[in-house]
Amino acid sequence: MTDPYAVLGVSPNASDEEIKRVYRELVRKYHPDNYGDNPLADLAETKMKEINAAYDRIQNIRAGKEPPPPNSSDNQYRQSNHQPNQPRQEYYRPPQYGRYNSGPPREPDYCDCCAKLAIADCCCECMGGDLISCC
Amino acid sequence: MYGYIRPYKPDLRIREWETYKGVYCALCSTLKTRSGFAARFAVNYDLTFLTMLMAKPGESPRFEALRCPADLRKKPHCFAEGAVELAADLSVIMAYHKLRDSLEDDALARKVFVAAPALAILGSKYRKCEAVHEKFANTAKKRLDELAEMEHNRGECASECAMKFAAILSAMGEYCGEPRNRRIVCALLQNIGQIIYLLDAYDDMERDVKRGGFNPLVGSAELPAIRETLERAARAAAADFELLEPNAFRPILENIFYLGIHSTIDKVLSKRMTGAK
Repeated sequence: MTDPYAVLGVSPNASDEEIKRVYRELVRKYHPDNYGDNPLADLAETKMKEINAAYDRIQNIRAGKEPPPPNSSDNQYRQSNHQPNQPRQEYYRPPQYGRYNSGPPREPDYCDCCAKLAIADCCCECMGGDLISCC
Repeated sequence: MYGYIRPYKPDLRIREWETYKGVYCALCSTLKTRSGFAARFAVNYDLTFLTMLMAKPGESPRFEALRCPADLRKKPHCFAEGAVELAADLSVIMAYHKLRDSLEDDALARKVFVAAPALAILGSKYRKCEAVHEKFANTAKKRLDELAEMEHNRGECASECAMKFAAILSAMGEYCGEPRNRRIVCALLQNIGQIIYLLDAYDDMERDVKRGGFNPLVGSAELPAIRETLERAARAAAADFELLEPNAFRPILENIFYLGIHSTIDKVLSKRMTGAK
């Protein structure tokens, strides 16, 4: 079986109350009543079985009846569980903005355009011309 | 296309909003790369949504700062490899068919000055995309012809017409690689297709009544219960979405399914849509 903590979308260090709360939310989400006449009802049933099996396994692990899973570190991609008092789970690493590797792209500002125009005007004036007559 | 499947912006994180805009920009840029500059006008929110839906789980999108021809600034573009190319080709196919419908249904000025020239420009690009996506293009053409016949007969109920349109969107789900995800995405897009068709019909009711054109909702027994039908389809789409494996755009997609679609339904049914579709 895969990591039961990853199936429920909780950290292995989560408290029993948190795991119970997350389990109930998932049961409510994937309950057969929500998929009554949905053609995907069989997939929802499979998902419910996975969730129930994962919850039972976590109970057994915490009661010492089973060994913990080998790689139960936080999974980067998790179920969506909105936990009101906790930050939302991350689904991807902060993006690499191409050549702006040091952070998000610089906000475009028109001072950049003005600076370039001013430099072009200066160069023109040095050569005897005048790009922008009012400067 | 229609632009009804959008997120509810006030509830998005700034990073998620920037990412969403980045996906839209990436679709525009990919349209230009694959189908020429004029194809950029085929960019739409519905296929932006499809790009995010079809992004592969486990892969991070690629961000790149590229110049926007509309306002000449550099903006971050968010490329979901594979998904954005598919969405670009499908955008051209859907835009071509929408223009064909405009040529048949719209006012003379719009036909002559918008639809006809646009079709002339997009025609060769459509044939190129049709060659690559033959099965989808044939399905779309067949379903749209059947829909046009149903609308011409004026006897069919709104839900039948909606199901016919939704079958086109459902066909887009066939591009999912994995069989389990393919089933889910096809069912999800079937519900989304119904929502789009019914919202578009509701939005156009006033115009169609004035011009005497066909509208499946005018005089229909389903009109009083339209909100319930739309909400039910939205809930079914959300239930299908929960079965999908999460990908990098999960938070934005959750916003769309749980807030965005419902917000759009409220706006359209109370006729408070602001801005372009």
